[in-house]
This record gives sequence, structure tokens and C-alpha cells, in this order.
Amino acid sequence: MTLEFHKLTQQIEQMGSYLAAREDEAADKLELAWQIMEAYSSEEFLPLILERVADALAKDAGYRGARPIDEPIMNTYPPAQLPPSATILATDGSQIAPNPHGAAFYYLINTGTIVLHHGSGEPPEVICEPFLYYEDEHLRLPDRGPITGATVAARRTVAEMSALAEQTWLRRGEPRPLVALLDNPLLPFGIGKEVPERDELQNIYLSAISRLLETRALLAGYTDRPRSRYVVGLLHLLSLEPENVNRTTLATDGRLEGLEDKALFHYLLRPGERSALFVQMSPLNKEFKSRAGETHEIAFFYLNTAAPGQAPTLARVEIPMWVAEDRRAIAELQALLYHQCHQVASRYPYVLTRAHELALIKSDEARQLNVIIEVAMARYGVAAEESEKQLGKAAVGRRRTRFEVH
Amino acid sequence: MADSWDGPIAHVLRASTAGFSAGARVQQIGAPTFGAFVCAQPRGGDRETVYGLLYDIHIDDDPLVRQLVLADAVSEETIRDQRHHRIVPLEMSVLAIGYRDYHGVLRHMLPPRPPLSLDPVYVCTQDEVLELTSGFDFFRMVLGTAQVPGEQLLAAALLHASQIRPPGERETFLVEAGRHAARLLSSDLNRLDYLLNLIAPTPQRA
Repeated sequence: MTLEFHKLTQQIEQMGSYLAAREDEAADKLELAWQIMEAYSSEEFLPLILERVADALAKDAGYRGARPIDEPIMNTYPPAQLPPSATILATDGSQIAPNPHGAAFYYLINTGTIVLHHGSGEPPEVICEPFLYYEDEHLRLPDRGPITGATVAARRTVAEMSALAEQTWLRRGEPRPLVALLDNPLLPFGIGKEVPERDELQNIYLSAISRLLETRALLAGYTDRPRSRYVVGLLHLLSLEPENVNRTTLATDGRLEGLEDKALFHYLLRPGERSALFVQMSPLNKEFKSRAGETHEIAFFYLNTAAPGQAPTLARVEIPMWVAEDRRAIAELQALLYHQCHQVASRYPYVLTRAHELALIKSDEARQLNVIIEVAMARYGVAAEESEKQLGKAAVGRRRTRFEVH
Repeated sequence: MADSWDGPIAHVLRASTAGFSAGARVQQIGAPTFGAFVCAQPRGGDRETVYGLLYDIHIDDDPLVRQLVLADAVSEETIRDQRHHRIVPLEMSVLAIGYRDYHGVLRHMLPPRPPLSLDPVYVCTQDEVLELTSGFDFFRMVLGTAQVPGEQLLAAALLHASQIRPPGERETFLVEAGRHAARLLSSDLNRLDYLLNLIAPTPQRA
């Protein structure tokens, strides 16, 4: 059966009404957030803000909001002039998840990297690295259970950072600035507690970041249309009396609950400008800092990628602390990102679009790979049969064909 | 093989006895031109070489190209990335005008079978063009095929064929070709007039 749209009509109407009401509420919350932000916008309040954050952390009150580094929280910064030359690398990854009902139990991770020699007029380099995992040690977890989709996704995240580090290392002698971009936050929340080999994967991930540090590359993780609420969390903290800061009051953003950072910076940032630098006070960031040092702590800023006269389009850019400490480097990174966003109409970095395209495994390609694997298995006398369930699903999933009369 | 492009300019995508379509990368657009004489060579020599006239060159878009078209200022590196690395196929359509059989005899008629997928397509050499245009039997195939711009295609092919002849023979060749066309189009003077204008040494204004 196909989706019965008529049964969804009323639900869709309710959804529209709910979203409209939420927008009205957001306008009130935004006004309140703006007032708090303005009240603390002066540079002289920075020590007080840092003290309030330190106090919340000392109380172990579960604070997950932002901490400014050393810039007033409402300041905005224009990009540097576009560097005449630069080397920009971008990596993305994709996977074919293991299918227990397929003819063969395996998974595949494909990473795609583009190396753009900005200002050279030369075509970029493109590198695709597919890896097939089919041995028992790859397909069994330490508890001997079959590998899960979450673990494959975590391994892919690590493979992306490793590929980016490897390719950047090979080009460490190329013209600077040397920019290394990922289409993800740098804090790998995907390597969660449900991944049994979490520690091992995090170590590889951190080692790759260390390798990037050795190249002094401007590593950045790019998040388009961010839904984060770190700065809103900070404003909520500032709105509380110090004696009222505890796990209960910080469990939500109080009167600002539901408001996203991008709503604030939507009005604050002009095209090309970035926000002040912040650090996200998550346990994972703390863990990064404690395991690999202060250089690996992750900071972030918001960037308005829109062209002058256009509605703002916001991105959150995460950078490690070794980049955050170099403001000239940030301004150049900002200029290159902004320039990249204007290579396409969608205001998203061109190199990330291409890295995604290089990494993407289309469903047709996955099907072809399955056929090739089945042929190889047959050649070696290995039975290659899909499960009954897979065959059944395939039978109902196919589009009906029509016999045409000419 | 060819005058200025030694390798294949494309490979056959699909074919019939009436003609074929061939695909190439977009950076190969320098080789083929409208009205060029091309041939599909069989791999292995067990089939006929099919000759034809290139009557359409088509470039497909995709969503990313559409995004780039709308961008403010696309850098040279981006454009070269599109042309060198992305699979942007150039598709060319060819009208069959003859074939060479196993014995090496050139025949101005439709081939007994089409070329096969992935057969390489070359621009014809000067010798091949001279041989193909030593007679005008293929005119009827060009002018009688509804899906090609017949007069434009024939004129482009004739001008190309005249240019590879010695200067003193070019006008004679075009005059002879015009006479042959006049016999074929005697019942359609508008088409004839148009064609003759197109191949006139100095185009005539109506």
C-alpha cells in the first residue's frame, strides 16, 4: 500500500498551526534574549560573564551553554580581504550499512576529499577512498554481537577526520592558509556511549586532529542551519540570580526555552560577518581538552553567509583552540568560507558540496556493488542468497511496470 | 586517424542503422563540430565502419550546475573542477550516411547493422572526407531525414569538405554539389534557395 495522504490532512493542518504558534512565542523570547544580550554586551562585563560560567561549572550545575573566550558577546567581526592564494581541503564520507538480510554481510565506508588550490586557476584534486569491511573482526563487536549501524557511523566519522588529516599532511608544503574542512561539528557526538569501542575511536579521532595541529592547518567543522542553543543557554544563565543556579534551573533555558542561537545572530550579523568566539561547555569538549590538551578544545562562531541585500543564512563554524588563538587566521578562514559559499547559489561552501558528491554512494551504485560481490562469491563457490525477508521486501518495494502497447 | 584529434572524440551510447548517439566528457568539446564527418569504428574489425554527419551536440545540466549558474562570481578553479572532474556528459548525435564493408568498399547507404555501445567515434581524416564527398549520393539521406536540420547540416558538411580541397577546386566542388542538390529539391525551391545561399562563396542576401 502507498501512504494514505488523506489520513494525514488533519495532522498536517495541526502541524502548521503548532509551528505558527511557536513562531509567535519565539518572537517574545527573542526580544527577551536580545535585552539580556545588550545588557551584557560591553567589554567591561566579560570578566563577570566568565565568572558566572565558572561559578556554574564549579557548582556542577549541568551547564551546557557557551563561554565567551575574550570577545564581547555582541561584537561582530568582518572577514579579512580574500587571500590571493590558499589550499582548501574538504572531506566527507558515506557508508553502506551492514545488511544481515543481504547476500553478503559487509559494510563499506567511502571518503571523498577535494583539494582546491584557491587562486591558482587550476582544477582541484579529487580523492575517493572506499574501504570494504568483511572480516569477522570488523563485523563483530567486542561482546561478539553483530556490528550496529551506530558503530559503522562512528567509524565513518573517524575515517573522515583521518582522511582529512592524511591529505592535509601530504599538502603541508602547499600555499597558506591551509584550510581543512569537515561537514560536521568537530565534536564527534556520534561516537556516543552506545558505541562499544568509543575510547579507541576517540583516540584515533584525536590523533588525526593532532596530526592536523602539526601542519598548523586551519581546521574547521561547518554546520549549516545550526539548531544549537549554546549562546541562548549563556543568556539564560546570566538571567538567573547566582544563588539560583543549580541543576534544576539549568535543566532548561527557562523563559528562553526553545529559542535557537541562530535567531539571535540572524539579526546581529551582516553578510560575511562572524560572531564573537565562544566555547561550548559540554562534557565531550571537556574530555577533549583533558585528553589531548588545550589546543584540542573546540571553539565556535556563527557566520552569516548571505550576500548583501539577501536574508541572512547562518552557519556555525567550529574550530580547535589553536585556530581560535590566531585572529588573523580566523579572519582569513572567514573570508575563504564566505567566498566558497558564493560559488553556488545555495550559500553553502562549494568544496563541501563536492566532497559530499565524491563521498556519496548512490543506491544504484550500492546495488551494483552487491551484484559484483555476489558474482565474486559465486566464483569462489560461496552461496550468495538474500534472506526470504529481503526477497519479500524487494518484491513489494519495486515500482509496478506496465506493458505498453505500441 | 583525424586531422587534429588523434584519439576518439566519443564513444557510442546508443545506435540504430539510421544513426547513433555518442557520449564524451565536456572538455572534449574542442574536437567535434556541427556538420563534421565522423565514424564509429568497430572494436575488433568484425563489423562495418559506420560514417555519419554530426548534427547535434547536447550538454546536460544537473542540480549543481544550475546552482553555479545562479551564483554571483564563480572562480576559475570551480569551473575547471566542473569540467575536469564532474561527470558532465557531452552527447552528440550522428546521422549515418554510409559505411565501409569488410572489403574496404565505401557505400553511401545505411549500414547493415548499427555500431555497438562503446565503439569509439573518431573525426574522419581528410582522405576519408574526400572519399565520402567524391559522390553526392548521401545528399538524399540528409535532406530526407526529418529529425535533422537538413539544409544547415548539408551546408556545414559541404563547406567543411570544400576547405580540405585545394583552393582552385573548392568553388567547382560547391557548384557541383549545388547542381546535385537542385535536382533533389526541384520541387521545393524554398529549401533549395536556402541551401544554395548557405554554400555560396559569399552568402547571398535574399
